[in-house]
Amino acid sequence: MDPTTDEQLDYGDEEYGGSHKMHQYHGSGTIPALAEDEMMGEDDEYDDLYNDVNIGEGFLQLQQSEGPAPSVDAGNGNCQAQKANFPDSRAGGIGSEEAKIPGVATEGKYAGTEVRFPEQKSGPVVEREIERLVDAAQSARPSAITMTLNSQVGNSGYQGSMPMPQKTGADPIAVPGKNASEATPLVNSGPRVVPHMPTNQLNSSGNVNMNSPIINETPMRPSLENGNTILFVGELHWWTTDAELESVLTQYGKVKEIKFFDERASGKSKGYCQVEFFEPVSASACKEGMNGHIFNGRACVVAFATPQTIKQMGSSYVNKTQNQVQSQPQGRRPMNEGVGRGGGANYTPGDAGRNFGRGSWGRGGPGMPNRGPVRGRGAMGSKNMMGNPGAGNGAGGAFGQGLGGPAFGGPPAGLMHPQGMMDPGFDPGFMGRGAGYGGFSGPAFPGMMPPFPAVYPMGLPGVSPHVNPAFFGRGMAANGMGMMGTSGMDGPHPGMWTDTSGGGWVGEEHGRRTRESSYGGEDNASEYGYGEVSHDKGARSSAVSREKERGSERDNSERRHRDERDHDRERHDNREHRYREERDGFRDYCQKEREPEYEEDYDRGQSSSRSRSRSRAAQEEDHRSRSRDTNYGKRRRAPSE
Amino acid sequence: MVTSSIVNTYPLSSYTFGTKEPKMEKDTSVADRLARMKVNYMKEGMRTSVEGILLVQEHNHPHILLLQIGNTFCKLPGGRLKPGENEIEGLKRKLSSKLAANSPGLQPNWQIGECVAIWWRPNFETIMYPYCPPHITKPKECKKLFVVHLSEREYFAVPKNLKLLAVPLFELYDNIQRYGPVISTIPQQLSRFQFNMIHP
Repeated sequence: MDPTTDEQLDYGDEEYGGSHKMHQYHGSGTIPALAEDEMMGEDDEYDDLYNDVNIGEGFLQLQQSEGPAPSVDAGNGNCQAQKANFPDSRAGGIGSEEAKIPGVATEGKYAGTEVRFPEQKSGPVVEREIERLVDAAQSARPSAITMTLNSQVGNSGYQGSMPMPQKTGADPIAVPGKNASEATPLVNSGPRVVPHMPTNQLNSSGNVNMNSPIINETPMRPSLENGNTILFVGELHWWTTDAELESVLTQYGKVKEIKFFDERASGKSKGYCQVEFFEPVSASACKEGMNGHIFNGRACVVAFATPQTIKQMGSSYVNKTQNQVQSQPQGRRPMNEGVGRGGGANYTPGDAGRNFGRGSWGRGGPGMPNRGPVRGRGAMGSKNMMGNPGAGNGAGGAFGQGLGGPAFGGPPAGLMHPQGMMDPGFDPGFMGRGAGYGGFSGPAFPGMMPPFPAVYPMGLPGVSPHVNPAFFGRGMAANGMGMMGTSGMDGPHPGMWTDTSGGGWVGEEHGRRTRESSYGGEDNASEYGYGEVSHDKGARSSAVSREKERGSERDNSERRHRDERDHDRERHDNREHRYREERDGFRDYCQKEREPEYEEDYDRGQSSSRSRSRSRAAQEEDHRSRSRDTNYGKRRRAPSE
Repeated sequence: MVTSSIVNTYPLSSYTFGTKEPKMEKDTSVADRLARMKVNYMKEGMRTSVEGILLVQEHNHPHILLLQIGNTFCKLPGGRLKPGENEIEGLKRKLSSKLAANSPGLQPNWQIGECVAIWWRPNFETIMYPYCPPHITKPKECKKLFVVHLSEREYFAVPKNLKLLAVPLFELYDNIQRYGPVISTIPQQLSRFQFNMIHP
């Protein structure tokens, strides 16, 4: 296996090159030939099962993994139905003994494709694929089993396998183990993936799907042409235009539609698109020929689309992170439809739509609204954030994720995600913030994952539409990293967060803290001046005050706040009063101004968090925050001022 | 086009509002609308639409005249330009179609001011952005918003199926949920104008 795997991986890399593989496969041996022999024998058994399986080109691709045998059958089946030639070709292609039928089953769908195997000789593509398949078969580990999963005809089965292939494509390294997990519906990767994935089986099946099932929404489609006319092209820059893409696409055939996936909040391209040709032949040719094409200095990735992925992509802009996370740990899970989504379930459901739910207010809110959802998305992948603060364009990642990690690979996708958020166009402050948060969330997340991811990353933006991200960014960026990294913050923060799992507020709290520090410095004197009162109250949840502060800090100068403090106190509810006294006259003031607009949000969020923190051990927190504030204050004074 | 950063706004009371026959929406649903948009795009290319921001003042605060369809959806008076039509002329045509009485004698003399905002629709979807996203070379629609300087006295005839509302700027500000991104950001576009509130 290992050697095989290695080979596969190598092949995989070269897959993009296309022709390389062929040679390699040949070199590696015999497998094709052997496979064929094996396949032949096995075919008979499966004939009945796969009568309606279409082999098509896709099939070849898929085969890599396990299915040579099964696929062969399928092919045979198809062939019988349609062309007699398949069986032979299939056998060769499939190679894998395991050839679980699952792959075959799917193949049935390909029945009608023009691409068909039998014509292997017909096209270099086919041949290549066969080679690949063979390899896959060889390397195919016993993953054939996974194929069986797919055996349900129809896409479902296919899907299972697909994920794997895709993953491999994207991530050769990950493949071996991950295929299952990463299984992304993208069948496309199948062919590519095959070489990588040990789980060829999946690939095969995946491939199979690709051809026929993919094209059609319905799982079984004997009449489906093997040729899938829909492709996904990913790993594009966000500034790569549709015109640039079209000029290259038209070389392969008549293009029916190009649909870019962009971030709903900002309109920015996610870096991948769905291309539909009129002819499946064009699609296959494009997939082979354009894969790896350099657009603006970046090699694109082309993969076939499966019905699932199409649905996923179309329905909502699945959170990449979700997929990312999912695929890794899940292994087989991804195989199911909506795999990416399933994983994503942990994350904010709101993310499902393009507009992460927050979009509604997000866009309208001052400042960031648009960014909020976007960022949140990236942020959600907390792991991503931490890993790649502002790495760059997440488009590719998104693509992969949407599909549950299709060809474009898990890791890259994961990486992309945060990067996507942190595009050059984004405020660097955010990046800092993100990073900072990432740092925090790291430890916090595992435990708090479910609520937090949704909340936390989005926390900033998501917490309140009215919260101006710029403020957060500023505060954070300037001190955030420092603060985060610093001391006190870490300690209390996680604690705070745990306390206040009131979602949105987590982020706020965090931000608040930083803010406080900035004001804290200035206030110190005043705070203590108010001293007696505040100290006592200080014990009350610092969190609350912090929350308030945040809002206030945002806009007002301390001086004004101080003056107003008293007024503010009266005004706010009791809780707030207490907090206010604690330290922030000016904060209250700020808040006051904000209140009319944000009160609702603050109250909502705050109350939950406040009560929580208070119940907990407000005192402890207070003390902590206090000292922290002091420190922060000193440190932050400059920035805030 | 009048280019001036001063806008004279008159109280609502200085205008007379009548009614006229209903002006039904051409599309029964969003999907229909998008489908029709697609068809038109194939025929005529990118759609250019123009909308007018008609301002009045009440309580010393500018109000915008919006047409309300149904109970919730508000839109600015305006519409799609014919292929090759001049923007200003097209806007006048649309304003008259929506708000002017049918009789030729009562056609308002529309004073179209500056274009204060341009929104782009990159795909056949309902989303628009105040810029054309960088990866889109063929936006599907371009919507331009113009300030319309109303004269002191006007007679408006509002179609029976629509309601004409005068919405204060503060109601629109930061209210994207209710009014959408285009209308809710009008206060920002108008912030650079100086409003001359003329009282009765």
